[in-house]
Amino acid sequence: MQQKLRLYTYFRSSTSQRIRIILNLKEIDYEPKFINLLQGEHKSENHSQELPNQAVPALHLQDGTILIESMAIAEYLEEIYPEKKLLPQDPVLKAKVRGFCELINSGMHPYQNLIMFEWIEKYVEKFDRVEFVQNMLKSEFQTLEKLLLQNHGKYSFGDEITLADCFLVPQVMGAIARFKLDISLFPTIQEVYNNLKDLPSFYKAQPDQQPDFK
Amino acid sequence: MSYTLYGFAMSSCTQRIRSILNYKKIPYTQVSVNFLKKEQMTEEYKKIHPRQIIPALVTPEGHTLIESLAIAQYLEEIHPEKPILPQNRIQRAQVRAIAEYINSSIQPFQHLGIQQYINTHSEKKLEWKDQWTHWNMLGISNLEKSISRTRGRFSVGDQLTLADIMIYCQVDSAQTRFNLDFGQYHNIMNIYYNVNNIKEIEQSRGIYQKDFPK
Repeated sequence: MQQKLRLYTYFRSSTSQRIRIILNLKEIDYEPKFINLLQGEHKSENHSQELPNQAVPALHLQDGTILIESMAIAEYLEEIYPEKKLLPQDPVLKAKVRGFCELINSGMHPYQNLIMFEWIEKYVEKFDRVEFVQNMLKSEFQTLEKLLLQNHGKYSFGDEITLADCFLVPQVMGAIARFKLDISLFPTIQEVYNNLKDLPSFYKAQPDQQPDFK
Repeated sequence: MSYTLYGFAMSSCTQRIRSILNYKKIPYTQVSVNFLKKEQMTEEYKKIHPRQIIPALVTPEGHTLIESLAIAQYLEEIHPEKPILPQNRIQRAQVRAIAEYINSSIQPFQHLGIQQYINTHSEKKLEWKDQWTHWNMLGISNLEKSISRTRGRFSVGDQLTLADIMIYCQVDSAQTRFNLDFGQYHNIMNIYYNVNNIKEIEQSRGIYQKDFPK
């Protein structure tokens, strides 16, 4: 039996970063396994058992069970490690936090997925990834700004850290680094992001702090 | 006072919520937001949903919820009869993984905006049907493999869950809209037919709704 949880991760994968943040916040000890997406390691035969969906993150439990999909992994960790809660008790607020995460997970992240880019490149000769993502995500960042205006305190939802923060930081960080996001256009996002990104659990999870960072 | 579901007959995301409301016998009224007529772009609907997409669910107490998976889990919590999530935490994570995969790796890839982007940037024109075909076939074939490991009578074990509702709505929408044929995916179609036999869910299909286009 494995001694610790094992997380398959890539330094620049924002979906992996979400789980790294959550594991840090909940002080869960884990063993990272690095998968180089750029070199296509996720698609290789060597990893087909470990990565059933050929993607990161994948969480291997001590008994060998493999969990995939960052939202599903996040909810599992929240249930198994309830100290340092990341979802509010109140059902409506909980739904709002989940809704915020889903806006990022299904409303934003798919449009910057490598698999999406590779497919578009079959059609568009000089595909400008940055222009495409900026195009697709402009209204999404405006939506996040509106929601944060209604709900924020120090963090996305009030003064306690929630899953919303674990999804927001990687999305914003990646957009700034790779897609030229001008965060000053979204002052509430900027304020919350600045309150979060230097907290140890968030800082230690960011791409340039990972052992596989290049 | 009952729930109000804002959605449209041709929206598979709306169908998910309608199916859950009907399955759990929760009273609700529907307000049609016809995206073919761009009814989601009104100022009125903007007050309901900041991103002006469907569905949105207003609770009897007046709270507005967005994002189908957040709404689904809210309904599960407030109305636990006819449960759609298993008790077992691993199975729950497996159900969520299937739901999240459809929500973030199949449905968003159908986005008309992607086709429009490709056609304004490429000599090679992309038919929307071909975009749907590519992502649905890829996604459904991945699910076919993953549910072979978890299925019983339904996709995770022997009870209906949110995963099955998601699979059903996705297959139904692709079949209805573009006549896609998933016959080669035996596990998926087996699940589809088992769900189709549940009267409340079959009758939640878009084709039976008042606002289904003639």
